[in-house]
Amino acid sequence: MIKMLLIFFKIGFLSFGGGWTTVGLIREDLISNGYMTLDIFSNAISISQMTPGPIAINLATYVGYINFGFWGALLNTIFFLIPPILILYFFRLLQNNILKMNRNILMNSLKLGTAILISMTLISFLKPLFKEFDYRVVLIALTSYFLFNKTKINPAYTILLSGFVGIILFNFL
Amino acid sequence: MFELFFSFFKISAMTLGGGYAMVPVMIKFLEKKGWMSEKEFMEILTIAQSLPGPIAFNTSRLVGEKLKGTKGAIVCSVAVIIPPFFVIIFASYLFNKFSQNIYVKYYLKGIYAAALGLIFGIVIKIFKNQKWNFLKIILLIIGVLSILFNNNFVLPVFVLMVVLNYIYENGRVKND
Repeated sequence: MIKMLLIFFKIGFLSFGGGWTTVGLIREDLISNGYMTLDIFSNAISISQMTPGPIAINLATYVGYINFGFWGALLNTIFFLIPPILILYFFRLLQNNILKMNRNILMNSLKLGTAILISMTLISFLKPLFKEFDYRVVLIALTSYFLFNKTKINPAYTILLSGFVGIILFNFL
Repeated sequence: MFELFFSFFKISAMTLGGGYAMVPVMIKFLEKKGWMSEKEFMEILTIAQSLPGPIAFNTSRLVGEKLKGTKGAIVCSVAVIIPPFFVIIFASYLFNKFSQNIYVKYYLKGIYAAALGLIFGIVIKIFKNQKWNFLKIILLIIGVLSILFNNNFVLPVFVLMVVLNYIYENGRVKND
């Protein structure tokens, strides 16, 4: 269990720029350490999207729960949140020194870090498609991309509805 | 304090999709209660976004702190975490019972596909939302390749690339 907690502790430090950036990392780490199979990971994503709460916290809770029950869920969630809590604390302590740093350049550099992480997430999610190409997956992915980038529909609803589209497409086509 | 707890509990329980869905609800709510102006909230949001951690969690924590100090921070962040925590535990219990069902499997595959599209959209937003130069592109490629090579490199690679980019851009500004 300690290994699982450390994975989420590490990811806590990297959770810049919104939850989805770290989802790929979580996926790779969990699968390579045997805490999760591919199928269960999709479960985790859908449960996280069907329920309230930030996706990364939801994943931490879910993974902790299926592997080690209630206490696994609780500890995992706490370990994931410790780094952000600590970093804000140090940020306050060092505020004067941070002001000497160039804020814009720092932000721009952190954005580079976020770009690396989100690229990893994309690669991680493309893997199953490379293994076994399925045009129906591409079709749903393109539709959801369009809805996300061109409309203001809450992505959570797009994801929930896509499940039903999935039932229709994969069953009848 | 009680009111603060229940307000954040309610906001958290009612918004699907995490931080970005929660933010507009929170602004309206805080304004209606007269606790905070939109401008003050936006300042908090900027800090919440530039620190690590889920936006919903960071924002609630900072709003609580601004309103009631350290106690407020604890009350608000705990209130935001509780609803998703228990809903997830309940949902995973239910879900695991039915996960062998073929329709559930199709449903999950549909969700995987939608998540793929969503992530592609986020990639484009994050890439567009910053200035690129030759060094940054090189750092991006080296970073991605070394993490692909070994997953354990992710934290050192992240820090190294951010620091290198900072040093380079800082040096360039000073030379001008």
